[in-house]
Amino acid sequence: MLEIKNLKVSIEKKEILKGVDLEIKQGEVLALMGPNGSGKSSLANVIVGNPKYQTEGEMYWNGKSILKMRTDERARKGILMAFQQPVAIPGVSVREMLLAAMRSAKKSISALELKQIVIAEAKKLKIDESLLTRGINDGFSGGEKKKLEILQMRVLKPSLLILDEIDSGLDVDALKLLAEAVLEMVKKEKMSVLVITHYQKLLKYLIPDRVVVLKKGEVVDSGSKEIVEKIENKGFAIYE
Amino acid sequence: MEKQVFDKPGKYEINLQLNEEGQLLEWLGVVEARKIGDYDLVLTVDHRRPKTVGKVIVRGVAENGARIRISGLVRIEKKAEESESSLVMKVLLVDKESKAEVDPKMEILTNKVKASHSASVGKIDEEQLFFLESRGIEREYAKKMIINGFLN
Amino acid sequence: MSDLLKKDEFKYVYKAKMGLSAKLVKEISARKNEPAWMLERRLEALKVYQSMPIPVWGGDLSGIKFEDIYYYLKPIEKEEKNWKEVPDQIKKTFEKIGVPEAEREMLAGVKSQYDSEVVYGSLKKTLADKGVIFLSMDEGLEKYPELVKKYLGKVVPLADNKLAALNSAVWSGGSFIYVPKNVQVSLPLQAYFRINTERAGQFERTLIIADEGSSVHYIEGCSAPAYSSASLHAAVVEIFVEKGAKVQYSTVQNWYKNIYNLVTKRAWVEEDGQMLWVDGNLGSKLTMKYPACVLAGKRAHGEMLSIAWAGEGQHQDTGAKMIHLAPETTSQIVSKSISKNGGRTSYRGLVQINKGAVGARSKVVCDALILDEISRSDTYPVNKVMEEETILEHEATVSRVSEDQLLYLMGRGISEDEANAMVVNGFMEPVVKEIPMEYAIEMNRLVNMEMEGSVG
Repeated sequence: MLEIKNLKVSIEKKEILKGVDLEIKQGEVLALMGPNGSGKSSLANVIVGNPKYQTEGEMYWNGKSILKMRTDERARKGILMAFQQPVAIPGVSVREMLLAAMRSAKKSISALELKQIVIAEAKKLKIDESLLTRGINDGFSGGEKKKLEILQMRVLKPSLLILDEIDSGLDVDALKLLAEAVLEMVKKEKMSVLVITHYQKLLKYLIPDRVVVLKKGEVVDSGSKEIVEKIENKGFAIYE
Repeated sequence: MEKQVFDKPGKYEINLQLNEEGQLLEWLGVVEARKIGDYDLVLTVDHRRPKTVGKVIVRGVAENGARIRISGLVRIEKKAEESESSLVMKVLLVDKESKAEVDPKMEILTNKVKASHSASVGKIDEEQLFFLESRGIEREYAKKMIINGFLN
Repeated sequence: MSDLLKKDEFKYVYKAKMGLSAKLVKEISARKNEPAWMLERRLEALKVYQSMPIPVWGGDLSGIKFEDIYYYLKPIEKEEKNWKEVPDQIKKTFEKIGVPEAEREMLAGVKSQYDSEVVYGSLKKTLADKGVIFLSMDEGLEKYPELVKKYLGKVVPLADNKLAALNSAVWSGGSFIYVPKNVQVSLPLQAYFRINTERAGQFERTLIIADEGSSVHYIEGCSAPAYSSASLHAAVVEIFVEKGAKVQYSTVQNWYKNIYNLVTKRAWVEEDGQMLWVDGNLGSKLTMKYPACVLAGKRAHGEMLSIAWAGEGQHQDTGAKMIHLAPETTSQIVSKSISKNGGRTSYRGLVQINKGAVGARSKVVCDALILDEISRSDTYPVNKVMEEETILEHEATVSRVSEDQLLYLMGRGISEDEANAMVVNGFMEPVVKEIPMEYAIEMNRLVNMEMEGSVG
């Protein structure tokens, strides 16, 4: 589904990724781990096409090169990121934004239908309904922002979901709830997930099929979920 | 942080220029208008080069019939891209005889910047006074404490 | 949009010579059969106008050729009594401006001004039964001269400023509204203004009196066809909010981009009265407009919500004035501005709290969005406090559409243009939500149009 080969990434002439290979298959949950500054978030941003990074290498989506594609085109192809620190957009409600997103993707839906879907999903995720008509993330708490990111995933139904440090600032109950909401999509819709985290907490609920470890811009380990435990016990120091 | 105190009536003109790329300027102006008279402070913060950062605070106290006027202009020139500027002005009026005018101005000639200003004029906060009084401090002394805290 | 800019064919019954003179002022007054005091007032205003210098602050007025302006035009159409009699051409114009169907049917209370004279309009019967007066200013003067004489020029004196003096000398048209004690006008009263001749000056004079305990919402909207040479619009609006009354005055101006829009708007607010100005400035070459509230009675409240949009060649120099004269008066100013393609927005405002206005509070929030590196935004507030027992706060920010906001929306599949437009509309939302729906839609549509192809 997503295939990355020898990806080199830099920002303001500083090299962040030094030739990374990565593949994500349909319906697969892949955990990307690594210490702070290893380049995890940069990789996520490059997959969605954040223009502030300079890139070199290859990136394919269902066999087609997407490295030069704009962010919105990639999103319409089904690549969606739940941001680590979602930005506030005053005066633009989540419903308004989702409607625009659906229409951009040529999915026909009425504002009323969407409203009902959004409200139903908000209930499942225990999101206060009043947040749905306020400016996105404008004055929201950390937990509310994260939940709203997952709500957007539930509505937009991507083929690949990237969770960038979704677990920071969430309590256990909320974490469980979000993990369940994601797993349901994996089962039902065969959605792929790229989970970025440097804790193993989230991975207890969202058990990965595979784990890749990134350090200083390079893949230093990959394999099955046992890696999570290894890191849990000994820390990233084992990759020194 | 550079600090300048203006405690005599008169007109003061201060020009703060950011002429070097990446320059950081932190400036605190204190207008202590404790005697009758006009205290005029005309302040300009001029960002002329890219990536300059200006943090300017002006605090004033007016009492005994003093009149404070603070005019502060933040100007970010076209070539001063990615600059940031903030200007905060606060004036306390301590008695009925005193007056204040605060005019925070901005001229922003490009869009890759962050600029903000705020200005407020008011009297000493009653809640703060009440708190100190509840600790056994006499009202007039409590006022002095609050003013000193505000200016320092 | 393009057909909106086409010039409608209009015939003029009478077109005065270009330029301004005492002879012309006498002619205008005579044609309107005005009482002698009004002619005297006009002539006095003319003298004041001629003695005052052209303002040098604010925007650049050097492009106005005061001698090349028609100061009086009277169109052929007579005042229409009901909608059926309204000529198709005017109906079409309403269509172009975007008045919704349902609204058009309710247009019984509409005054539409084509140049210097109100072309048609009839008052809703229910309002008439309650004693509400809604006439063109000319008719108002004819039918209620004492009322007009009592209030006219009392909050905007003829020597207030050069353009107010000009208006006082040559005014024509505008609305006259009187709402009797304790009458609540639930439906907004609307008037559409329009400049329809090259170099046509528009000098409407509007007077609104909301008597004790009454309430009214007046809406003024403008759209002007395209012209090559500069045109001048210098209106004066005076509002009296009596004890416990409530007035909202909403304006959306979309004058064509060669028009100088220099307007004086002021309200006098008595005890427990409330005045709300809602002001959208999208068009014109230069607008200079600072609606004011004189908060004269205890607990009077003044509010201003405004949006300014400046595109290529445009300068929106707008703001508000709040003068606190009485105890416990409150005011709030929320100003949002957007500049793009070299446009310039300036906020210019005054908050003054006079001695004796014990317990007065005022809050000013100015937010500016600059959409590219060639556009400009300024903030020039004056905040004067002469009373200790008050709270005055002023905040302003200048920002842009951030890369993070764009990435976020594009990350949901929304194109860059649309994402930009969404952020801009979101920025305007707090003010737009206060204006009637059809105007809000019109404004959002305009922003989307202006934002198209804005990037890359």
